[in-house]
Amino acid sequence: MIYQKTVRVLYIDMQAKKIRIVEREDLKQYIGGVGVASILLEENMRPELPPLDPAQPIVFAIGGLSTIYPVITKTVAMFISPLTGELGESYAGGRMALTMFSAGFDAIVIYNKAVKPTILSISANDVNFRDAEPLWGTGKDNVGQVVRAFEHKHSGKRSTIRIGPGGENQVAYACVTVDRYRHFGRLGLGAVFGSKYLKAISIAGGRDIPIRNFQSYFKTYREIFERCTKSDVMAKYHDTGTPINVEPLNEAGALPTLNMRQNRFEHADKVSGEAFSQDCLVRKLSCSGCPVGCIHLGQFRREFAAHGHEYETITVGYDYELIFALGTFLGLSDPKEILELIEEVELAGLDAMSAGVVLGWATEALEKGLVTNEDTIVPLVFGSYKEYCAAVHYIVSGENEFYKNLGRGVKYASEVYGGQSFAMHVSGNEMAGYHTGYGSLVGAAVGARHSHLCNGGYSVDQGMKDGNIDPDKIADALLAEEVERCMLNSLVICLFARKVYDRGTILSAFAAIGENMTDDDLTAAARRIFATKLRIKKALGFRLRSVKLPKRFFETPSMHGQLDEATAYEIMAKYQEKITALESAVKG
Amino acid sequence: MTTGGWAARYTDERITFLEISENSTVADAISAVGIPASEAGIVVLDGKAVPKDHLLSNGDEIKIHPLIIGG
Ligand code: SF4
Repeated sequence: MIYQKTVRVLYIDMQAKKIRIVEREDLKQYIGGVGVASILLEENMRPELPPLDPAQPIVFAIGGLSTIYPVITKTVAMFISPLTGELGESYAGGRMALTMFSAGFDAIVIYNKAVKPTILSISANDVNFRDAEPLWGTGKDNVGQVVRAFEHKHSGKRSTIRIGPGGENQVAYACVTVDRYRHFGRLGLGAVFGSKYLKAISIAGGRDIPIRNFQSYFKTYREIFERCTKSDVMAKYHDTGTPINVEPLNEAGALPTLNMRQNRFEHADKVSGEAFSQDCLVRKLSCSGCPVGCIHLGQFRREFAAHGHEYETITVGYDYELIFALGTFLGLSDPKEILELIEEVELAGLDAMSAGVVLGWATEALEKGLVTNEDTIVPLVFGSYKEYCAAVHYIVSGENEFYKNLGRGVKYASEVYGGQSFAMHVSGNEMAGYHTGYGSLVGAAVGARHSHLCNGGYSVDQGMKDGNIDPDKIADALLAEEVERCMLNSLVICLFARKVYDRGTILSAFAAIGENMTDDDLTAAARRIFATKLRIKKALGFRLRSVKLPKRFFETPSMHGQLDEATAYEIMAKYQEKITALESAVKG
Repeated sequence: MTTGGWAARYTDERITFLEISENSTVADAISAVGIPASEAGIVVLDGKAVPKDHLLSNGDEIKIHPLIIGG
């Protein structure tokens, strides 16, 4: 927290309805964000118990520069993932970081299970455990309305964090929605909420913290602000946004399509960023404290009654990952149908990427006769969105044995029914939308949480040449980026702005609020945080050597042509050697 | 050479015919139209991504895409 020598942690026991606030000086060396959250997770997790045991913790943390500089807007959540059984780590924007900051908490640890469904209402002076029993089983929008009603005095300085039916029913890839359009999407935090009877959290802040050396602070702020708004670095996020990726990935042969049977989509032009902008885009929004506004909202119209021409207009957020997972991966080529499916997944409270990848596998499994029409209830066919909308509901309700198994993720479902070679996950986490090469594939395998965001492997692929694969160099590049991101995520900046926040800028930002950090301090913190994550993964039983990558990654050509299985495992082995060396260096 | 329109802030043209000297690379073509090297991403030639140091031949048609963006 700005101007403090300690990290202020709020501990919440859901069962006993008790709280504790502890000022932790020892956590300062981890800067904040993922650094602090990793230590709190390590201290409070119970590796011997399943991920959804009530004793397992949920940890939220903001960073040392949160909300006082542009685009430092994110909150990190750490937990044990019910999807992978490993490290769970996810980030969301919205107003959450701002409200934690102004309520005066750097981190929140939630543990145990409430006696009945609960909304936690957190403010600077108080934590209330509100009865959410009437809301259990209802949509996320109802929660928003109720929270707005009882927290009306905090209007504008409040964040609402909630789950939908997917989380209540503990679907392994249920998400948590923050302020309607942002999510802790990946790895199943929603199910962990559900396992604690935690329907929602409302955080309201109101503290003012006067800036001490305003001139120096404002100068630094201004410089960063101008780079965010006047340079090219961030403009593309506002313009078309991440959907601009559809076209290049398609043309380069890196766009996972039809359960990744293909690396190109013949209708890519209909679902490109340009097409979405032209046909559906109605508004752009920002997280609090961000001048960029990359949140793209699209609209579609639908009939809500069978008679009388009754229509409603629905607004939903879209980005590249959603277009990939709920579009190209399922063969959908109409932006309005994709938006409608996004809305179903949103209402269900599921992670869109996992949901799309799971449905892609189910479609092919049905086609190949591994599962039957009786299992799928509706005839899942690539390109037909109505059935996918119905299937999303069946996953959430656990309609039959098949959908209950689908709700545990594509790895689990394929172990039950077969089709593991085309179940597109990496270590249990459903794939992201980049089949760019070894960087993206191995990057997800070695990444602490098996996400494309661990080390941005697709960027490594963009700089790589065909026929010139050096496993050692790739392992080096992935490791360097993963460690550096530990530092960036301790701040917790939005990674879209990682080119704005180079080392020099970060040090100036700290200096302007009176914290004299050095480059070496940042490096040391990054390594310490990375080592903590490795310890957590080890304690949870993860061994990189045991990771098996589905065959299809090697059958469908990537942007760099067909990937060689042996080379991928060689890069993983190199990476293992390097992290073993790094671990001993950090210990030493 | 085409850019698909994303590069409008650097060059007015979506399609550009370039006269470049022998032994020019993709990177040379990118700089010749005024697109900053840091903003150009995947470059496609004959349906395949090519590296920035790929040597161009007479009559080659390339499409320059922006960098893949994301977290
Ligand atoms: S760039 Fe987008 S995601 Fe990042 S802080 Fe700004 S609005 Fe939020």
